[in-house]
Parts: sequence; C-alpha cells; structure tokens
Amino acid sequence: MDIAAGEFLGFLHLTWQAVVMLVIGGVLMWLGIAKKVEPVLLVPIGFGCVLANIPLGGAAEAGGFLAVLREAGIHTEIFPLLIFIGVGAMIDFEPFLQRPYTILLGAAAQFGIFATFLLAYLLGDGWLHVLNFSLQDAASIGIIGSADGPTSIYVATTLQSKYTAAIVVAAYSYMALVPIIQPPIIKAMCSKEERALKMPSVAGTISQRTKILFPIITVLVVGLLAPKATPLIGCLMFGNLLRECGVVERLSLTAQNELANIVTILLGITVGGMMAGTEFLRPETILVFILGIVAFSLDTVAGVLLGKLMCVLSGRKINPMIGACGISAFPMSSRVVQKLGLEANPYNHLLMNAAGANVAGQIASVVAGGVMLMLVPMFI
Amino acid sequence: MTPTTALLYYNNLARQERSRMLNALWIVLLGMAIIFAVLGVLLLVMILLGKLVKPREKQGKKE
Repeated sequence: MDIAAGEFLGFLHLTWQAVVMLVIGGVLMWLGIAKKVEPVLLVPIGFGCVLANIPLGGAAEAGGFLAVLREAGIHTEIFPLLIFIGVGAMIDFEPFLQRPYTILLGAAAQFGIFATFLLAYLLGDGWLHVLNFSLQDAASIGIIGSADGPTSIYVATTLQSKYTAAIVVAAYSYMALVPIIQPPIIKAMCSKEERALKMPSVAGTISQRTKILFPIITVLVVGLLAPKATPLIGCLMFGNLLRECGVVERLSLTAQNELANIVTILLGITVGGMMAGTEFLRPETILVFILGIVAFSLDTVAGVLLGKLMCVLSGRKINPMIGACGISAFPMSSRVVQKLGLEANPYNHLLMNAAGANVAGQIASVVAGGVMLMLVPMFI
Repeated sequence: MTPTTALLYYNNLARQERSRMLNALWIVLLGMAIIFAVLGVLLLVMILLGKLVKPREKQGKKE
C-alpha cells in the first residue's frame, strides 16, 4: 500500500527545485493576472511552468504533451516563425517609411547584443571559465538584447543553447520591463533641453504601392545580403504583405488574430514547460538574467549615442531620445520616449518618430539574429 | 611535467584563449559591420523607392 501511494502521490516526490519552480510559475501568473504585466505571455508561461514541475505528472517528460509541443514547435523553429507572420500583419511600417533614416538607429541599438555576447563568452569558455557558456550559449544570451521573443527563441534553438528556456523567459520578461529599464538610462544620457527637443512633422503620406513593395524589397535585400535571416524576415514581411496588399483581408485578419493567438498560447505553455526545476535552477540562469539587463541597457546606450550624433548632424532636428527606440520592444519603447518627451515639454509629441525607430528596430533585430547565426558557426 | 613542458603547455593554453577571444571580437566587429551594411543598403533602396513611387494624391495634383 505504501509503495502504491508513493507511486501515485505526487507530493511525496516533491523536490526543493520543483517547489521553487511551482512558486516561480505562480509568481509569473500573478504578474500577468494581477499586475497586467505581459499577461498574454506570462499567464501561459506560468501555467506551463507549473505543469512541468508537478512530480509524476509527466507533461514535460518524453511523450508528454509539453515535450511533444517542444519537439514540434520549438526545436523545428516553427512557433517563432508563425508568430512572426502575425507580428508582421500587426505592424504598420508607415512611421518608418516616412523616416527611413531611423533604420540606422535600429542598427546601432543592436550593439548590446554583440557586447553582451562578448561579455558572456569572456565569463564562460572564452577566458575566465567561471560559467559553462560556450560560444553558442554566449551568442544566444546576447540575442536577448534583440528585445524580440521570437528572434531569441529562433537563435537559441538553432544554436542549440543549453539555456534556451532561461533566455526566452528573460527576453519576454525584459520586454515588459522596458518602461523601468530605459527611462533612467535615457535621462542620464540626455539633458532636459535635449529631451524637450521637438521634431518637425513629416509632410505627406506613403503610397499604397510603396507599402506593398516594401516587404518584398526588404526580403530581397536582407535575404540576399544576410541569407540566414531569411526565415525570420520572410515570415515578418509575408505577414506585412498580407496586411498591406489589400486583397486578402481575411488572411491578414487571421494572421493578426487567430494565428497569432493560437501560436502564442502554444508557445507560451511550451516555454513554461521548458522550465523544469532540475534544468532551470542553475547559477548560469541568474547570470543569463543579469546579462539580459546588460544587453537591453547597452542597446539603449548605443541607440541614444547615435541619436545624439544624428541630432548634431541634422542641425538639432532629431531628438536623440528616439535612438532608444532602436530596440525592437514595440510599442513599449515608443511610449517611454513619448512620455519622457512630454515630461520635458508638454507640447513635445514624439510618438510617431519614436514608432518609426521602433519598427526599424524590429527589422534590425531580425537582421542581427541572422548575422549571429551566420557568424557563430564560422568561428566554432 | 618538466618546467619547460609546463611553460610550453601554459603558453599554448594562453595562446588558445587569446585566439578564442579574438574570434569573439571578430564576431562583434563583423556583426555590427554587416548589420550597418545590410540596413544601409535597405535605407538607400527605400530612399530610391520614395523618390520613384510618389503618393497618388500628389500625382493627382501635378496632373
């Protein structure tokens, strides 16, 4: 009778790691439900985490439904790509097309990815050997700085990092924390006078033809110059073409709603299912989270620095703060800059300018992911 | 291990570590250069596209 009870009663098999992870799962759900922090992601992730850590439940073990979803959706890289179709269908690139120069801010704001990669590798196999970070792990940790969940998943799984679960949770958590991470950095780097700088409004609209040609041209340019980014940029731009071409409204709406929602549910619960205590609770996981903040911060610093340079070169027509939107945390980053602009000058509405840099950052982060996938195997 | 072989061993180890970090540095430099190059080309194409394809309203006014 005792043996049978031991086999059936899960709480008899609870380990301290499982208890900690059950609490973490609960906290993630609490953040999503009570505090409204990225609820669309944190609720499924939290619930998946709880499911994966129930002893004898078997949900995340071989053959369990979370393991099947992981094999089918994450290891094949299908989920992040499908999410990108939905994201592409949701994004209006008009603010960027009106200010194409903002793509350079997007490029600069990817510096955090590479600087963090260097730091992680230095702490790992590169030099200090303090932590078990290989070149692939370091690159996957750096990509948290893309501020883009699907790109982080895609790069980490393609490079087969041991820390994929921690990287994905860090990437999504920090996207929600952009309103906390960015303002102090921007305020430290930009004087009140700079923050109050108004930007001239852009005259004219973008033609429908340009909006249709944009996704096709972007795929061709990025795909031909950085081919490893083709799946990511291809899905993003396919979604955007559905939105802009005007003849497949049904598909566009499906991509924006049903497809994005279904894949978000599956992706969230699967990522949560990857948070098994024995794998997740390691010293390296804490370092992954710390390095994630470093990546976001350095992205912001690099973006603002280029913003300052462009401000000087343009004769103070560009507010340097919009450089911080070069990270692709859309639309949180734009809202942060809008708020800081209004604080410094109640008539300073920077939202559309910031949104231009923000969607440019989306393209830049995808290119950065592709570049990482191209370069890392060359140096292994 | 004699002192000479130990010296050679650690010298070799240090050289390997330097080489690994140099490789990582190359990834950083090449990575940022490629990102700016790709997005720079995209910027040029978009500027060109903006000049070639004008909004219909403006075309109507000119006609």
